[in-house]
Amino acid sequence: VTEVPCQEKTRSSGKSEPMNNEEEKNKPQTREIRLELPTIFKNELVAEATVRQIAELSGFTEEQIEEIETALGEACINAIEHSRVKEMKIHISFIPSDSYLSISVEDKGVGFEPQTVQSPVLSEKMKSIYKRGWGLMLIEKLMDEIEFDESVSQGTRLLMKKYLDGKKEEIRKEKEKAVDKK
Amino acid sequence: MTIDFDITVKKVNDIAVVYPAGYIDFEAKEKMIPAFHELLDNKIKRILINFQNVKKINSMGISVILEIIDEANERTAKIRYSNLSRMNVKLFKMIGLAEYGEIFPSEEEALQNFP
Repeated sequence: VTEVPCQEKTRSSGKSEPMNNEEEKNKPQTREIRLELPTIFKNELVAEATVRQIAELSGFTEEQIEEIETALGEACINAIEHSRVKEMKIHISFIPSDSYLSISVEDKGVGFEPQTVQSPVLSEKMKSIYKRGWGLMLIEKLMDEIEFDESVSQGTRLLMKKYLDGKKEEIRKEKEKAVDKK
Repeated sequence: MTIDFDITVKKVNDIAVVYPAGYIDFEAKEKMIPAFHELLDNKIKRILINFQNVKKINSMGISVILEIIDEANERTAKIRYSNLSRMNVKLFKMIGLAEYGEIFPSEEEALQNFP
């Protein structure tokens, strides 16, 4: 696990300018944590244990932590399956902030077209020999936002976001206020 | 949580209480499917799965449970679940598994209310 201190851009230019002590103390900080795992089943449990610690430190509730763990585990399983080559790596990045936790899960495997994945229906699965295919649906239900990064040239990069309890609503209201003022 | 998966079965009158233990993923299939086949082959019609020693079930484990339910339905056996963790109850409800068998908080309640 590598921890990468970084500073959120507070100005649109992104240029850093000298700050006094008070500004330094209050400046928004994020700390990106990166994890690299061999594409071997059960390594999803390593990712889950890591995100549990990060989510606990970030102030998520136990119920939210369980949801994040499960979603990340499913994302890792998908990445392990899609890589289809032994001893490849999954690259996971965690970026905690005051309002949410962003997670990206990337593999360099054969990739897949997420838009072609149909949401599974239990009654149909019961009739079918193929009973798998629940992972993406679970991730969508357990996380607040998910997106596939289409700029990735090889493999798949899934971006997921979970808001701290109440923060999503708070941000939505702030956005509404900003729109009203305009 | 133990990673290695194991399964044990206890009989309570005509109900088979099954205790999976560990992580239910694709590897659990090797032990789960034969254990349920044996029960169904022995004409057991009421099966309770007690999940007290299962902390995690992933989507591959869900597909194993679906296979078991499918097989039980074909042989007109009834399956019920008990002692699921909060997250596993959530998973069962998201997938719709609760429609295929009632979830009870404890083994005692499940045994008392098994139809």
